[in-house]
Amino acid sequence: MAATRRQFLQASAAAAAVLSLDPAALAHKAARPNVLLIVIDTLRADHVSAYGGRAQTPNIDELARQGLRFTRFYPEAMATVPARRSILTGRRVWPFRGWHPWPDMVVTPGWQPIDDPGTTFTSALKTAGYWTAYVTDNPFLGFASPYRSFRRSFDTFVRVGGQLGGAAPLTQAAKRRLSHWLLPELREPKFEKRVHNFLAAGGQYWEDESHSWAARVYSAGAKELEAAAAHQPFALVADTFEPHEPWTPPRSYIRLYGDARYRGTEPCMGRYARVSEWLSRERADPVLTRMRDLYAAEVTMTDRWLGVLLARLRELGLESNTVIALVADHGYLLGEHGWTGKIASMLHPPLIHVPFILVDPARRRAGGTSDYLAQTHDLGPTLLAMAGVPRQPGMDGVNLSPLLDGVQPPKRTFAYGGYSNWLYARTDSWAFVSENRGRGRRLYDLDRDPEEGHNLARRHPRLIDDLYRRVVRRAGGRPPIYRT
Amino acid sequence: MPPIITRRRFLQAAGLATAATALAPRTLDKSGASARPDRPNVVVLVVDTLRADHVYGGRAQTPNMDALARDGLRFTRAFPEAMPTVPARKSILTGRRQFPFRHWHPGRGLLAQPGWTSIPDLDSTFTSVLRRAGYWTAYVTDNPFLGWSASYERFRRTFNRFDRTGGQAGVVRPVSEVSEHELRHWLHPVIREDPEVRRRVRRYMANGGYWDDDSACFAARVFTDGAKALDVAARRRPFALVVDTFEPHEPWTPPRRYVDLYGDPDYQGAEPSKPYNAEVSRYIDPSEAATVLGRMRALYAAEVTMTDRWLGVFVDRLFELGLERDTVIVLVGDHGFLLGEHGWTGKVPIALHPELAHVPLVVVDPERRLAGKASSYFATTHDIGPTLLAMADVRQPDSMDGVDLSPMLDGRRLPERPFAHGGYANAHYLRSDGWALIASNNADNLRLFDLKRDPGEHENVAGGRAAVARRLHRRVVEEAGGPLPDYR
Repeated sequence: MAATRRQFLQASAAAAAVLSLDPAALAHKAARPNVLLIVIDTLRADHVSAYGGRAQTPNIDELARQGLRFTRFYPEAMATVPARRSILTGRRVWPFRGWHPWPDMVVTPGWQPIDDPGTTFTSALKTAGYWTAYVTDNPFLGFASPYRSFRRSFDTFVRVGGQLGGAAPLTQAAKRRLSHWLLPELREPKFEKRVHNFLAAGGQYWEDESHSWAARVYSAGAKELEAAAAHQPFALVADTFEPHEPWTPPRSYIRLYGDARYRGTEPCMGRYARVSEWLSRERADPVLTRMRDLYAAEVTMTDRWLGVLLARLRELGLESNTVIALVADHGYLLGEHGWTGKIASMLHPPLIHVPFILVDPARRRAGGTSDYLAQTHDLGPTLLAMAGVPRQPGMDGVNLSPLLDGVQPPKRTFAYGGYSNWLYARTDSWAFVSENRGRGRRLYDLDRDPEEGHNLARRHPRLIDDLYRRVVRRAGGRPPIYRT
Repeated sequence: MPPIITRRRFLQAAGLATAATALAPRTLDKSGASARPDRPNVVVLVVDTLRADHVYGGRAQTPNMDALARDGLRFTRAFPEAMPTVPARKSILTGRRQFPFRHWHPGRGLLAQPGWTSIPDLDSTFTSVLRRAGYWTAYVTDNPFLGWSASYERFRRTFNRFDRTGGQAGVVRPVSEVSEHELRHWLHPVIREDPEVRRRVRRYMANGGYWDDDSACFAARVFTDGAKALDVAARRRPFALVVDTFEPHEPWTPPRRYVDLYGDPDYQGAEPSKPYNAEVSRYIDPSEAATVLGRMRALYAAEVTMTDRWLGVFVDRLFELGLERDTVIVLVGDHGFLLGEHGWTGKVPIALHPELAHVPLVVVDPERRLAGKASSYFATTHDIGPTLLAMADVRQPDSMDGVDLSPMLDGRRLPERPFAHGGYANAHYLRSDGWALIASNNADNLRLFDLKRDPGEHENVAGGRAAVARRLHRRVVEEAGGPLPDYR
């Protein structure tokens, strides 16, 4: 059933309203609070309206109003699987030493299973008596054979298939739709196969968003909340692959952003390449504009269904004794710096700046912000601390919960991490990007050039040497290079 | 930028470096530092049984070797002039062509096969020459012959440090630790009959036992020992370190997750961990050939990826120690392995096709000249010694006859080499741009392949092109300095 614009906005507002609560009523801090971790794939911070972003995200915004919003959060490991390893184990996994290719995994450094699922923060919670559940449509954590023992480390693991195909028979109908959703520039077997599979398994959610993966994952999550409510304390992770491409949202969402008269092919995905390599000068603007519109639409759609999960939390009376954390694993370049996609060498904000919000059951620091350079491996120690469970040996993230009391955690002068064979480091004033062994170094003055458009590497050779050395020291030596 | 005096230069100037040999006398400049250029360290990575078509994006995933190739100059037509294992290493170490193995006689602890002997003149291996020039030298290996045979005892003593890991052959751990059930898993019925293979695989499983945990595999042990040797070497520069891994030599018992990269993940049957050196038709029924050969290929590719993973650990240590700007790195294989191609499995002297004879060879220059480039020069194993000595600015002994490949890094030409040639036991090959000749030394059975029309070498045209075949064979004889020995 297609939602009208009005219905849509009403539904979102209603969902958002359920979390507005009187903080005073929640002053009593739960001894062993539940934990709800929301992981959203491919979500740029600049597409969350609470971050001043482009897309309308009323439900994430409501979480930001209830919690502490981190304005400078950068994953220490990317992309999808490395980031989740970091989040789940509470350890830095970059620079992916000793990596080798794994079956069912993308062949990129860092894509490997969690060595010992017993060392995740969720396993630590389970050992401490928590009932644990993971709900996801992530094709790797959900379906790859190397993640089998990870899946078994939860009391319940709910997986929704189909993001990478194989879940539904390929139909002729889906194939006909290719011309609607697949750009002529991408007409080759690799993309046709991917999108064809996606369309076949996606239940035509561009017509009925309740068939979308976001809807399915969050509805399944809501159902698990009902079970969880009977097994408190619980820890539930809801990990949605949406808004990862391909993007095929309903027109009602696209209309929020794009030209209603647009009649061209909908660019449901782009190449991971320089724009100039795959889009002609005439096509670049209209195609990139539409891609951005589709992405924003998919973000809003995902947010709408997140609202369903959060509404259920409220209905079950769990909001006053549940820690809620929301985080993303990476972004996506939509033409910035001349690239589209996820590009390991382009470790700039559209790719690496993601939202992170921490909601305290007692709503301390509600609506506040922190510019602490938090990173993915901080979540584990933080959530364990808030659950009153000791930090696990080997975890090296920072426990951020003192911020809820207005106390500063140990100072972190720079954030750093990496993706494939590239690394980044960011201080208050500088952004630094380099290949692992020091080639191709780039430097940006964040005070004068927040868009990171002007590489100043040549003008500050000693500074970049120093930044590189500092990263290398923390990384335990020069990071490895792999060729894949 | 003002010159920085390195610790090494300082030590040299202070006379603390070990004595040099036939070198140009050093002159001290005014600052007291030696005017000679710094001598690069040398690292040679020898990987046994490594097919060239399984690296650089070939049939196996080898991200670490690919990274080395990206940093170095890759020789795309490297065929060892002497094969297999021991003859190839003699060639590498002595910088002297070993083929056609004249005056061969069997050596203690070695295979009774032409070319398998000790190194007669140990003073003229490139490692001994470097040691006399002031290098600290080390050899880290699990090669059963160089590491453990009596014939190589004196060789082992030519190094400052010789680290050997046992177990690739022979008994290290009691074979009673291997249950019949486990053994049967790794002995596919096609290879279960031969008692020697049974014994070999059982001993290997007892000594190795790494199919559950690859950190126990031989490659892991050799490369971590190599990394430890690097820690020591870094304090004794300049150094020359050879890390010589027998993996991925068969038997192949890799962890399942490596095999699943290449084989059917649902396969539940026994694994053919050690193919026979024989024609496929001799021991594999046609009805199951596809499955069995498929499994062999998956196991082999899995071991290559596993070996590469541990090679990465070693290379990482080299970079962590900051040695990459001061060290020449050479990666070379000694021979390949037939996996059903041309109707054979294993190593068979008469089947000197690329699957057996084409190996990777990469030279990484400390200054990264020609990084990422490829050369089709017919470089081979006995060129490595002269090349390294030239790059170390050490005079090569007269016994070396390989080509110094280093001028290529400066854009200079190398001596013409219109073809590669070499041999294995009693057989030899010659490969030019257009032709491949494979023959036994007595010239009974010349086989000729037209590489332009038949790059896969499936059709022997020696009958129709007898004159070409004979001409090429004569070239081999000329290069070998006379009629070839016939060791039948």
